[in-house]
Amino acid sequence: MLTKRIIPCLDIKDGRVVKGTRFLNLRDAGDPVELSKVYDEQGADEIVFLDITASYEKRDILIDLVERTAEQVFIPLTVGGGVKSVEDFRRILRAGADKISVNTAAVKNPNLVKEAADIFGSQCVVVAIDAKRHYVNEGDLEKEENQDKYIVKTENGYCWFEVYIYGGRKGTGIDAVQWAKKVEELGAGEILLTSMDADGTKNGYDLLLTKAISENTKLPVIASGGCGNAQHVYEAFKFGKADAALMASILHYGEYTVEEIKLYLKERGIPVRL
Amino acid sequence: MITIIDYNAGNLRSIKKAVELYERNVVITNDKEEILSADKVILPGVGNFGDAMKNLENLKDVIYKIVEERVPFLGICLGMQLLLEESEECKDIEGLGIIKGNVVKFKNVDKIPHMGWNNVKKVKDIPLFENIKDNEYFYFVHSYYVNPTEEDVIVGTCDYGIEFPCVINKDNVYATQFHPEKSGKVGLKMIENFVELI
Repeated sequence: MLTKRIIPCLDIKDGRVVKGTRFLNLRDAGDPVELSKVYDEQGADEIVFLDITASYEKRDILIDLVERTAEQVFIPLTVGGGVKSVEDFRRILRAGADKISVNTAAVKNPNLVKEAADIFGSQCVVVAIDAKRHYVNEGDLEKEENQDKYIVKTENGYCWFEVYIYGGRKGTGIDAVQWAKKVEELGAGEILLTSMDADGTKNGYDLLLTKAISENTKLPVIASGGCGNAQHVYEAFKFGKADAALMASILHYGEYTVEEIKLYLKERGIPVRL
Repeated sequence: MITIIDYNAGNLRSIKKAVELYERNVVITNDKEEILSADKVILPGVGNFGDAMKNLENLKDVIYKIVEERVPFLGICLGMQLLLEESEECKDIEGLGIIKGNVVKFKNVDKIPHMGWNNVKKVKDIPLFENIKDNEYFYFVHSYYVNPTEEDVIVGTCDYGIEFPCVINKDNVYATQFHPEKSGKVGLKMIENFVELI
C-alpha cells in the first residue's frame, strides 16, 4: 500500500539552515547536509531544501550543497527557491536534486511548467502554491467576480483561496483550485501547498485548503504550513486528504523525531513507512 | 567496470553515487565501446517513452548485444519500461522488445503519478532480493507500468489500485519500476546485490 510521506523542510540561507535546531551530537547543526542525514536516519521519506535567498550569486552555494547532499542521502531531494528557467532546472537537477519546485516563475510564465515537464519529465516538476483565504460576504456569493472561484464554507464564513507570489508578498487574484487544475494540465507532477494563514502559527494545517486542492486534482498534494504537533499531521492526511506533509520547526527543535510522528500515525491507521 | 547508459535521461548522478558505494569503477557514457566492455550495464530513465527511445536509437544494437552476451543488465523506472515492445505513452514508437508485452497507464486510481513509498511483494527469490525482506518499501514515481506477456518474468509486484509487476527478470536482464538509488538503505542493498551478480 502506498504510504503517506513525512517530509522535513530545510530553509536555507547562504548555504545554512536558518530555522534553529536543537540537535545535539551534530558536528554542525546548521549544515543542511548533516541535518539531511539525521532526518534520513530517522526515516524521513524525502527532503525539501528551500533556498530563501535565491539570488543569482547565491545559486552556486546551493548547487554545491545539493551536490554534497546527493552524495550522502539516498532518498528523494526536492529543491526550490527562485527557480526561473529551464536552465535553472538543468543545473540543479544535474547537481543531484530529484525534483524542482517552482512558484512565482510558474505563475508569471505557466509555460515554464510545460517546458520543464517535457524536457525533464513531470516527476521532477513540483509546483509550489502559496494560498491565502479570501473571505466573501454571503450576499456577494452570486456576484460575477466570484463565479469562477472555488468557494468553501469555513468556521468564519465563506472564502476562496487566493494564490500569492514573491514569497507571499503579492496577491494574484488567481483561485488556487483553478491554478492547481491548470498546472496539472501543463504537466506538473506534484503540488506543494502552503497555507499563508496557517504558516508559522503551529495551529495545524489549513485542512479546508488542503482538501479543496487534493479533491480537485489528480496530482499528489504535499500539505505545508502550520504544523505544531503529530495530531496536525494526522489531520492533514485524514481530513485534508493530503498525500504528504511538510514540516520544519517541530523537527528542527527536536519536539518530535520523524519516527515518533510515524508511530503516532500508524497507531491511528495511517499507512507509513517504518 | 559498470556503465550507466547516458541518453539525456535526467538525474544520473544519484544512481552513479549509489553504485559507487559498492564498485569503484563507474562510468556514465554513451560510447558504444565503453558500454560493450562493461561487466554490468544500467539503463536509467525518467521522462517520456517516445523521447527516450529516440535518444536511444543509436545504442539499440549495443544493448541487444550485451543482453545476448548475458552481461548483467539493470533497467530502472523508464529504463524498465523501455525493455517492453510498446507503450500507451507513445504508441507509434517501438520499445526495445527484449521483454514481450506492453506498458500501460494506471486507470481508476485517485492520484497519478503513483508517487511515494510502496511495498514490494516478492514473487520469486532471485539474487537481487538477497537479504531484502518481503514487503519492504521502495520509492516509486511513475504513471505507467509494465504488462509482460510471459508471466514467469515477474519476480516482484506492488499494489496501487491493481497489483502490477515492479521487478522483472529474464536471464541476466533485471528491471525495477521503483528507484533503488532513492529507496534508502533497502534500495542500496538491492544495488549492492546487483553489483555482486556474476
